[in-house]
Amino acid sequence: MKKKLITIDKLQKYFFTRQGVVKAVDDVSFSIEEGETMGLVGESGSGKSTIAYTIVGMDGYGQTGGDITFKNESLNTESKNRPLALKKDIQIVFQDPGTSLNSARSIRQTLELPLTVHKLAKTKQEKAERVAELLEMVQLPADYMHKYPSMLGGGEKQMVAITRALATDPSLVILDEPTSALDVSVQAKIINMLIDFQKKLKLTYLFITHDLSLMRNVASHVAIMYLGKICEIAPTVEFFENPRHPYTQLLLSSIPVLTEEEEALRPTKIISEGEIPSPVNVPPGCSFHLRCHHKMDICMQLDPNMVKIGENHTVRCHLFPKEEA
Amino acid sequence: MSEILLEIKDLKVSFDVFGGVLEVLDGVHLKINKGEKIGLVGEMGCGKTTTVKSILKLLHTPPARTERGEIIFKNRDLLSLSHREFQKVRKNEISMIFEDPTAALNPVFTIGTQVRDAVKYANDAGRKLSKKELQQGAVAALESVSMPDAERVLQFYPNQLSGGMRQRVCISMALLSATDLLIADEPDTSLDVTIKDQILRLLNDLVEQKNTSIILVSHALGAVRGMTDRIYVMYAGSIIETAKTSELFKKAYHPYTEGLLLSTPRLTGGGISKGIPGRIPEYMNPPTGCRFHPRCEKCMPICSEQKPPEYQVGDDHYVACFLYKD
Repeated sequence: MKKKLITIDKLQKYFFTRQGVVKAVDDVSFSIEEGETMGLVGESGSGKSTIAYTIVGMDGYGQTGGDITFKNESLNTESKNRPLALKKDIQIVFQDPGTSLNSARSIRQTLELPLTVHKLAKTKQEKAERVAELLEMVQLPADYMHKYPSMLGGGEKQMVAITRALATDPSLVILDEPTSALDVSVQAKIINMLIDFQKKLKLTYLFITHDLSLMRNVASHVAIMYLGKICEIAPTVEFFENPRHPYTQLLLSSIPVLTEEEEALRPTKIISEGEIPSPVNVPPGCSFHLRCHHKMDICMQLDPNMVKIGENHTVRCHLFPKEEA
Repeated sequence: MSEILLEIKDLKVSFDVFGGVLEVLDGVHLKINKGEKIGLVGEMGCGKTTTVKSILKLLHTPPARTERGEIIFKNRDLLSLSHREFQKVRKNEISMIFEDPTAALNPVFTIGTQVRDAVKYANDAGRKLSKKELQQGAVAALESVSMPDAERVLQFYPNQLSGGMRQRVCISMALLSATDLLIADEPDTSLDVTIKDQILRLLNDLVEQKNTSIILVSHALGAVRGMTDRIYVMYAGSIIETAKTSELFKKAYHPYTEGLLLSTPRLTGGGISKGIPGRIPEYMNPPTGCRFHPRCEKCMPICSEQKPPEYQVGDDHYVACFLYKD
């Protein structure tokens, strides 16, 4: 039995706005085992990134309720209150490398910062050596350390951002849509590199994306989110062979594919209807009922609970009654 | 044999910028028949948008400069039309949908004002439309794209609508003046998967209904596969492979197309290929010969010397690569 690296229990993150309370993340629970990749999939506004930011403890992202446990330690405060060693252990890579790298700093300055903060290298020379080593790891030439982000291509910038995250030798890396701003040929290269690092450095990933086909090739477990809640969690193979939640089926039938084998794998065509409701004004009952093809009366009144329907496979839908649990 | 609606012949477009000339389009050939749905696919910065924008003369000149080539539309060369004549083309014959509906709509005018303007502009009744007719036209336009509650939506400002709804508004306006050809420049890129599916299906239904030809520009091969009859693959300013959609997905010949297909993650799993090394070349000093040769694993000496012509490799399947010389 593998050890659980991070456990999230009934996590809530609400934002209080003038228009009302936005329940960006509402009662989300999952855990990631060491060396695994948890894929978090959902459409825009479903709360994927909010979960990521809460875990790294970004300013203003302290949770409203629930617990995060990381290596048996509680992570219930914002980053500024966390011990330095804990910050070093959790790193994040953002979606757009164009804005997540400081354009006024050279690559060397960018990569030296985490080394300085976490006291991983002392002398100037040590730092320069480590930076060169890091660049070599992502197959960038060492003289790139004197360049500025504007001189690099999108893929290279993202490599630098990944290197920066890996500079502190973390155990959990959160990848918040790391390749969605990139072309597929570049994406392929980066994904392969990430998979390599995971094996070599024994990393655990929380991989956020909206691309299910990518998820199929990267993640070991998949969680689907819709309007701040998780609809379905399952191991990847099981998830793609046997999707149960109507929203998962809709997602799978909506993605464009390239081959007939893939088409055979998708559920029969489900016509996508309706809009994603605004998170300020979530419909009562199950938040998906407005777009669901299996809507029942109960769906409009009662929000379903997570039901276990198989080994590690849970679904939040009234179609699956409690008895199966 | 179906009738050719639009033909781009050897189009070369450059941009004069500080520090030199960007040779972006390097002899683009493209043909679209009446009622045909074609896809133009390629990665970021390969000249897809420049190509379609030059059809409608939407590129700012300067810096853009058409060095040579012709765009024949219904037996007229669009590039040599006067401004006046060209307005007629834009008014009734060709129209375009842009990638980002948020940027395409003016945030300070209501949807109503903007759609009514489009109705007024596309009007070919030979007389001015009354206010009532404009309003009716606008409602009908929105209803044609299955917009719920069209009359109320007309009073909204763009920021009150979701991305998918905004794109519907843009499509409705474009369709008003696109009787012959609709150019859709990545209409789905900024939308979510399920909404993307909705919008592409809507576009497909509408163009089939009206027998309008469509050029669907996209960087995602999957999106294009579901909807088009024919695909043009573009790399660094030229068309490198073209075939019927079903043919292309059966077998791609150009090393770049192959790489692109292999790089796309599959639902069936099995890992991801290692991608294509390198990146799109600089247009200031593009590589000589075939522009793909510095990234190509099957590069031969001739590739850096000459630009490859198109070779036929199958039924209606053409590839610009020296590998298929014989």
